[in-house]
Amino acid sequence: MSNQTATTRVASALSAIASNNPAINAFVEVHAEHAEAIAARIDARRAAGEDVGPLAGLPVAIKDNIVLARGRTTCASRMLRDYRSPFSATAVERLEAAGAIVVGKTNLDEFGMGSSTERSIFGPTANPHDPARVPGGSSGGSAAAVASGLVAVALGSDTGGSIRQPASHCGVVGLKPTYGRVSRWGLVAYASSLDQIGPIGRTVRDVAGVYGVIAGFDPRDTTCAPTPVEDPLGDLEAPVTGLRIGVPRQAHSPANAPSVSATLHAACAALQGLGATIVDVDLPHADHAIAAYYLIATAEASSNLARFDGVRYGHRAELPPGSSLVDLYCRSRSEGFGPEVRKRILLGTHALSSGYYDAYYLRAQKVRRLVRQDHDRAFCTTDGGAGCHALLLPAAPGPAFRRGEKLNDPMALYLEDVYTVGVNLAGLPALTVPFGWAPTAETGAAAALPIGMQLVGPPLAEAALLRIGRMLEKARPAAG
Amino acid sequence: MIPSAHPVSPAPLEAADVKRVAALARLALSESEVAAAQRDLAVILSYVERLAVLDLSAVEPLTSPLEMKGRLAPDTPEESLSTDALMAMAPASIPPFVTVPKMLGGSGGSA
Repeated sequence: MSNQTATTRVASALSAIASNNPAINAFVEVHAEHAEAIAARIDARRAAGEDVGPLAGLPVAIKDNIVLARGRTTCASRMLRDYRSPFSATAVERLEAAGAIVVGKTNLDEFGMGSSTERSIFGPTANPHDPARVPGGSSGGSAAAVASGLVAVALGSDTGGSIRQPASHCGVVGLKPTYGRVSRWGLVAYASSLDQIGPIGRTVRDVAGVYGVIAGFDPRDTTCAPTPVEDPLGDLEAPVTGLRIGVPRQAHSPANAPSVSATLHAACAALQGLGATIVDVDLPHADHAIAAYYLIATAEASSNLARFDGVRYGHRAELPPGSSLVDLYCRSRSEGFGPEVRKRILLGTHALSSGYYDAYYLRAQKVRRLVRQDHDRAFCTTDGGAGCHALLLPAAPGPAFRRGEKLNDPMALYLEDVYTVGVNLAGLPALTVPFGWAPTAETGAAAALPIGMQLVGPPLAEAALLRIGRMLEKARPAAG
Repeated sequence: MIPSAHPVSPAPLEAADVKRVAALARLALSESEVAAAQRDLAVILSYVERLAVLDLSAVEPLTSPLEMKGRLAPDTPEESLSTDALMAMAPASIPPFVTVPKMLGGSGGSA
């Protein structure tokens, strides 16, 4: 990917982090000494004529809910403020085996629960395009680190849009792979049937290269697909002529910011100009996806986060003599979790509790099937299906919003995910590519803000999405 | 596609309901936190009421996008984490034990 030595590239990344991170707060921990040592080792091996891997010397950042066998893995939570993992995630092991160099960990909404990277024990991350605005979330630290040029690629995780929405708000590329395509081993679980690790990068090519390294079967994750991975770089520059791109009727919402609607129209026109066919499709249960998602995600979270009890690891409350084990659980969890995490645990516990399970959780799971069937029909080439190779829709209903603007309205922030949660419910791959700009007249910001478009594909269609994304990337208009 | 944030007025959720759920979730909430949770959950539960209008009688639930049977790992021993590594993570321990307050007999002391 570069003719520079690993040492030079790591030094450049560390210098950029030292200069720019204090204003952005994208990194929560920097591993300078380790990165420099690994870089020197890679350069020595390369000089000796050894194969140092396809990503040799590439500085990367890791979202701080993905474990690393050095430093801390905090999930931006008081609960894990001092937690040190004894092992690294499979995705990280594969990156390092391919020669990538982890320079540090990035900020997030606590345990991945948020869409703005404002709810972190490390404080909020700023959007590099306008520091008064959020970078999106929950992988906002990774997206901001890439957008501000601190690293070329970072890993994020996506449970309901946490890679794609911040990629849109920061003007970078973000890929949420098919559920089961990338091992979740070492990803601290939020909602296990929805979570996926994926790359965020400056270019589609960088994202494709990293995706090709981290994807593939892992026996340690029982939900990891044993299907071989298609080379995402092989046809990356192939034309999109003859492809059918579906645009959901629901993507033309009157609630979209004008710049989002304009970007959607411009992306359709660009793809048509490149020889693709644009067709209208219907996702009739899209309006119900947010409700189903927040019931399922919080129900799974209430179960997954039950492991944090103050006993084996994580925060333990100081208790007065005579306290019980239940007191220890309750106090440790209440002190360790922030307000949004507590709220989601309460909602999920309620949805699963006796007398409410059928009305909330079971009903949400049934809606999940309808959402999946809607997507199946859009991609299916028989039985009256629309036969689309991909769907095109916004990644978020607006550009990056001001910090604090949606913090105190429980539903306003959840509706940021309106265009992204359906993909997680259905387990599909999706790619955000920057394409348009929100003008200063619309936002009041000092400069134009980026707008991303989202491409959604059938299961395991990552290579096709990256190829279409590459064409959009080349057709992207300059900021006005 | 973007629905209104507040389609109907929040359904009533009693403070006792929040306390019951908090006890199930092993969370200790102050009275002000109970009141805040009551407000927030009411708004969200009101929003999810939109699912009630769908006829789902003939729809099977979808628990995972894969819909595959669990895969068993081969029955071969592998190295696991050492006791030392586990003790290093524990917030309070007398190796090789993790310490907790007394579970039985009422007045257990804090570890």
